Amino acid sequence: MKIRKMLGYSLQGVVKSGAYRVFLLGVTLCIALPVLFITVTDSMFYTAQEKKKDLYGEFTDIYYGNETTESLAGNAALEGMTDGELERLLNEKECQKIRRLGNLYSADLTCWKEQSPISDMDGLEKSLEKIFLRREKKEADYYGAGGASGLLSVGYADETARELGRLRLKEGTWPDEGAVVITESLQKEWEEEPRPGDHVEWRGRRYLVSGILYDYGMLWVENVNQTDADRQRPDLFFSKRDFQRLLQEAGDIQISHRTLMELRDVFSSDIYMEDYALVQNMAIKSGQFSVPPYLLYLVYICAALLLIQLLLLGLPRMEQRMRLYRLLGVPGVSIPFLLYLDLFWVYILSLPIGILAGIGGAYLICDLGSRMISMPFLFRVSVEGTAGAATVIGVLVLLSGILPSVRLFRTEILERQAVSFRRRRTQKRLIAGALLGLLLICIFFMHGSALCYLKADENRNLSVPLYGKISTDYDYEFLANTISSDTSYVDENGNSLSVSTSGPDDIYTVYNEPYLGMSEEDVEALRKDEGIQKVLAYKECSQLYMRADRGDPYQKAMEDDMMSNQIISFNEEIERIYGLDGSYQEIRLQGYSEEELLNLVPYVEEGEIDLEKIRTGEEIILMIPDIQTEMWEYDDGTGQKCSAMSLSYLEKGAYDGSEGQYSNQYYHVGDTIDVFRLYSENPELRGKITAKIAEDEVKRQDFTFRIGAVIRCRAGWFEDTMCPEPFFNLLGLNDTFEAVGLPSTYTRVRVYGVNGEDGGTLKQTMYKLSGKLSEMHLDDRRGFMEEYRQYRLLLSVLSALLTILSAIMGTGMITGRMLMRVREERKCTGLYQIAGCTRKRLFWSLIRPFITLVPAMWALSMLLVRISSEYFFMLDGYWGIRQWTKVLGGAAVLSFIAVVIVARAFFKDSISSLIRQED
Amino acid sequence: MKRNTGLKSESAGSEIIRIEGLSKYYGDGEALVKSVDQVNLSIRKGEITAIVGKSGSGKTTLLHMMGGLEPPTKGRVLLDGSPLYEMNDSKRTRFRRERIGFIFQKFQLIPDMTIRQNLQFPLDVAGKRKDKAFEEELISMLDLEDRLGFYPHQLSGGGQQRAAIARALLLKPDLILADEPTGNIDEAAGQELLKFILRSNEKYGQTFVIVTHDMTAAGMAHRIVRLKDGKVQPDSGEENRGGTYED
Repeated sequence: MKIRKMLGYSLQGVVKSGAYRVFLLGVTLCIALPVLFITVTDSMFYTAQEKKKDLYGEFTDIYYGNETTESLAGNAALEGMTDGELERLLNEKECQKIRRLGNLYSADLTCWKEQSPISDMDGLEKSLEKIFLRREKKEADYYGAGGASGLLSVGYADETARELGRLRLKEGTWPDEGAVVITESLQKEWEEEPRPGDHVEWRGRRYLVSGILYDYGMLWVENVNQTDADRQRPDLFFSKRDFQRLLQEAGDIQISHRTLMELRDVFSSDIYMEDYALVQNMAIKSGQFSVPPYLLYLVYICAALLLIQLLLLGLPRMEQRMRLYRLLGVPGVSIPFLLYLDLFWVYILSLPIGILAGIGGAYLICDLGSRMISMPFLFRVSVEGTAGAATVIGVLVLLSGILPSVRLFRTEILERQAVSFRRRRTQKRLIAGALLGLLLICIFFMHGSALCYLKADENRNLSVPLYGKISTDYDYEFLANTISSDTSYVDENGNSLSVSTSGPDDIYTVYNEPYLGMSEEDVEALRKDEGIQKVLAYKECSQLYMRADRGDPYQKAMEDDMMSNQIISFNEEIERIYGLDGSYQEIRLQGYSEEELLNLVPYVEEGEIDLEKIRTGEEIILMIPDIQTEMWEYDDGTGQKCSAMSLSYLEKGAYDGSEGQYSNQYYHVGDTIDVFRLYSENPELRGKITAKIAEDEVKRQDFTFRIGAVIRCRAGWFEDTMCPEPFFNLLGLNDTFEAVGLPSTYTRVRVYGVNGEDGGTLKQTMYKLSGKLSEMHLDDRRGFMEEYRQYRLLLSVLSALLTILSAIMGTGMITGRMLMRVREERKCTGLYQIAGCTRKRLFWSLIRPFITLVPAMWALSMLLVRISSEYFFMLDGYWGIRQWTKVLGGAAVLSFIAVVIVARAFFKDSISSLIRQED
Repeated sequence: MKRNTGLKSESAGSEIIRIEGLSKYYGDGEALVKSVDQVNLSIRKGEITAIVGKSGSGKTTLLHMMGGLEPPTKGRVLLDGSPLYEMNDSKRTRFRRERIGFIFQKFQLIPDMTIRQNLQFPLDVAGKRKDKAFEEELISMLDLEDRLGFYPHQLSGGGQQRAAIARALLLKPDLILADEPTGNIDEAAGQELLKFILRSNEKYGQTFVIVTHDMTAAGMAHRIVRLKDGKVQPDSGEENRGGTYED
């Protein structure tokens, strides 16, 4: 037969045949699903990427240069780097890698106050001076008067710099001469909230507000070489002429010049070494998060199983059709070819509908998502992704045709006589059931592993309460530098010196923790900041000592087996001065919030957490984690065997006394622990001290704590303390410190920014505060957290999407198969009823395999996910019972819906109608 | 029933189909069913042969084996001297579609094709051009002119059977095998159909083998072959002398 004719007949068959219509619908769904998944994913990632650019800017590199007003006096002023300057920075080859560059100039006008002092705010309603003075006052309230900087920054950016720095106008236009653009945060600082069209004044000159600038946008990258001025984001943007005039009027002030670059290719690493002012925007260059590809693979696997299911559903009718062809003289060898022609048409017809349905569905999800979580998703269609999905499904259609084509090739022209009919039917049902089971496993597995992925990802990026871990989804953390104490040194005369070596007479290192951290006032001031959602502050005293008790088998083992470096002996002089003798155990007291302490309730093995008694210092929680040690040998490279020991903490109840396990059973509820600390009332005293200083300035303070509860696993620990902690920990409330007379500052302060806000102003506040708190290290996680929150949101939406899609697919398949059975067995049903069976009983026997299959596959998938979670996601002992129960509940509801649909079809016909059904 | 006077029996030519020791068994052991057992038969060109017998006597199985649709358990089928089941599937299919036409009790029309396409399809499969004059004549004879654009389910049983006959004859096969051609249509349509078979036999000299229960249909055959329990009855295979067949 000519191919054209065959194509024609095939097309007609596909369009007219009922079996193919179902298959057509299935293939359309199979194309639509991955297209939808890819489009939603791509749109979300595009949104996240755009948000990331808002956070970090769009530039790949930035050059920080400084100029003065004098050097900008010429005609070429504010025109960026000259060719000569650029060549000095980069060689010709590197210059060619720049795709485009933009220039941004900014100046700190804080010096204005000295030039024309004003202290009275009256008559300054629309004046920028008012903002200036208000900021100055706030600064003074925070850090005390004097030395303020960065109170008002003005700037000018060319068009490329605006694009690369993501400076976007919320409303209005960029300024011409006589106009100004102000930032959103600056606008809010005014009671009047000037809008485009209003006027503002600066030093008697009126400027028209032409636009309001969003607070996001980034003009610097975080690195060790940046200055405070580099971080400063201008509050106002002027036109080039006005900015020049402003600078000339301000006199000789330093101007920050940032050159924002977008590169075609990366610079060679030497370039960055030659000039430290050239910095890469690593956040933009590196892709931190991505959608796990296996989710897409699972979508494809489900699509493949769905295709096979559908082909099996349609196979009897296909067989019928192909038999007719054979009867009419089509040779057996042509049958697979004819089947593939049909599949070709199915694919071609499904393709546009599937793609449109997928993209349309994705658009709806994005739109719905935007409305529900009030975060605008930028809808984007990935041409490559869609083409990829279409190709993969095309290949799957081809592959799914293999088995049916073999089957059809072997099909006899005439249907076999009924001798082996029953056996064949049972086999067919078993195969179909197995495939349906496999599809259900895939669907449950897809959902379960998505949950595991989220869990593992959360464990990796954010600490969750695992062994009583403290959550770490904060934006900034101030942490006292308790271990770098030997950088400051106090000599005999009380002079503080910064040295890192100890003198020959040094006998002790003073940490003086009461003065290392942030004061109560600073924490309270932070809590009042508008950009801050909450502040979690922790008090800690890590330098408490308890006499080592060799009567305690645990301590004895620790000391004898040298597993603990917390058991120490003091210098003789120290022993003499403070009346000490023998070995001492280092012990730590940590303060938490009430909520966090109550979170530790599940880990308590003895006693109970009584917040009131802990607050008053009457009781304390003792945490001594059970330990598992393991000895192992390794080759040191020279052929010599070395032994090493690894140490891990045991979960609650995991201690069984096996070899290598240690548990402290010596201390119990009601026991008391006597501890002391050595401290100085001189806040400046830090580091190595001599005996004389010790005698003069360092005091011993004793405390007695009564144990109210005992925890025997690691609990209440922070993500950044990965190394083994002291074996003895006392857990209490922050209030406990004051109650027992142990003065302390907050050594760890975690700041949570207001969600959804840009945080530019908050960042500035944090960095300024960091400058004042020289003893504390600032960890800036704002960018990471913004990005991570987006990513989490994206993953949650995707996993929800997968769940919904898989639920629809699963319900559809189960309903389809049950309806198929109803149809296949119409005559049988009628005959059984004539023989006396009730319709209900017959219905039950029909649905029973399906309703038992669902929970069976659910249980099997849970087991598979449990096994794979340990290997692939490193989730030891994670079952996620609650989530799985929800899944089972959902599956039960969906199965019920499927049963209701099937029941309608099953109970519809009369017995007479059933038995008149043609064979 | 009126005696058939033989019609073309004088002009009956050489043998077109020979069946030697043909058997078809299903199952095994105690469940062995001998559907057709050791049948020997010879059919001459231009002859109308009716195969009659009780339900389950193996008539249809014998017809299918004669047409190359059902491989026998034992024995041979020689079509114009060529052994059908010694050919490979492709050759047998080609042979079958060029030499044999089938008319089925359930019509076996392709449901998603119109009657015109159903008639055209075997021609396309065989790669043959249609004889337009013959087609028009056939369609006119079978009264299908107004039904060509219809789908099978839009026609009555008689209409579908006429379409199935047109499809079987359009390739001008030498041998036409009809399985209960009047089984699914009313009596009047059945009579019309039989008349057409006789006309076609007279006009084109085609050989017909008809499996039937209908004694009217059997009565118009030149020969009647009786099957019982898969075996040809000793008194059958003779020229039809007008006797009646009592089932």
